[in-house]
Amino acid sequence: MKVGGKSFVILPIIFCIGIFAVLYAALAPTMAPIVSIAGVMFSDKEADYSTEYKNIFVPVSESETVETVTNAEGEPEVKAEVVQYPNYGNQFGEILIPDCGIECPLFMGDGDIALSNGVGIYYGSFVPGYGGTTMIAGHNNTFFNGLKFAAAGQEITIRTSYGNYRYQIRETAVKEALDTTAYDLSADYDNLVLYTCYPFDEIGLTSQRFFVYADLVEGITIEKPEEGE
Amino acid sequence: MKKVVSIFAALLLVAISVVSAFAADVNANEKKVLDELKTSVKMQGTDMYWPDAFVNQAENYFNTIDMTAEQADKILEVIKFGKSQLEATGAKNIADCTTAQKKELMATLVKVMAPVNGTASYDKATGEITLKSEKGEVIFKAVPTLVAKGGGKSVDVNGKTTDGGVIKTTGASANTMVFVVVGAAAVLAIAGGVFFVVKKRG
Repeated sequence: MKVGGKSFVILPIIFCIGIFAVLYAALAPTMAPIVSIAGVMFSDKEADYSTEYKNIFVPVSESETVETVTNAEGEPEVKAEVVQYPNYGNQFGEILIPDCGIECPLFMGDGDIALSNGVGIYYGSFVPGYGGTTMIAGHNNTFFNGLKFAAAGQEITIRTSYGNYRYQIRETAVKEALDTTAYDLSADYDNLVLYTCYPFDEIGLTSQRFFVYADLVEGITIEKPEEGE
Repeated sequence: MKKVVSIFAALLLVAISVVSAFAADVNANEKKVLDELKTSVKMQGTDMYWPDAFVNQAENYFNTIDMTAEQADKILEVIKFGKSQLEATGAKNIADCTTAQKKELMATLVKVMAPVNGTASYDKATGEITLKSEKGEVIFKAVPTLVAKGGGKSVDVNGKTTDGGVIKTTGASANTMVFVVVGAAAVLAIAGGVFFVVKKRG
């Protein structure tokens, strides 16, 4: 084949078009979620995901009071009737960690849709105020990238439709993903565990997770029926 | 009159929307099922339990429904049958059951979900069981396994070490890695093509 002036332009163009066509066909299914994440990161518009998930979050302002009852110990509890318990996949709140630059939607369940649009509570743990462990997962390259700035003493706020909950970070730790001692899902007191993949900026799958442990400092527990009721 | 009717209609709509949102509580029927899920199964003489994470998922689901006594009784009956099935397998854990035994257990799980019109499915690739509610919402998703008291890690149905699916993959996925590698190879190929043309021309 004679290589002349025209070939110098045409061949690279054919090369580019050919390779991009092959890449598009092979990677189109994979690209969709990446484009979606990029959209969340770089869009200056309020994204609308109403068709992907149900949002039941109605913020409670600081001055607003939620209907409470008094338990046997004389402590106030959020009346169970006013709490719309979230189904798997519902957005029911938001999480704020000012020192880490984190402010994002909070979902019940940590499925793909939840983690593409915010962070999600593991369905085998409980919502804030339930009196157990609340364990939240988020991607290290999007919503939980800021966890790398987490440190003891910092404040975490979770806002829900039935009240706002304030936590203080007790400690952070890097542990193996399969380390079942990294959390206690049988705890009978409100506590918060956040985690994401570690190292933060590594591309590909990692076997370690970065855990943040926090204690509840403010927030009313949800009413539970007494034993035998 | 029209005003009165429209106010009444608005109030009715509000009332319907309130009724459809279930309050956060576990009723006595649901508690009976939860208590049963917390009891042990004897596997090769050892008391084994469902991990806390599994029972918690059931509790979260129960907070969104109102189970009747009749539904609870049917579910309890099938759970007890499933436990006897598990004990009769002679296996140490679910992962050690034969394919035929796993299929029988899966059939029992489908029956557990029937009284609440839910479904059960198994994903061979991930080894996960997914239970869905009548509305198609996920109410349980995990790699089925039993644990000894105080233990949390086990092996899944494919023989791999598992925590039951508690901790998720929260980094850039393997697909992203493939994309980066293929992209880099494409750039190199283009650069090579241009270099070849220039070399030939020169």
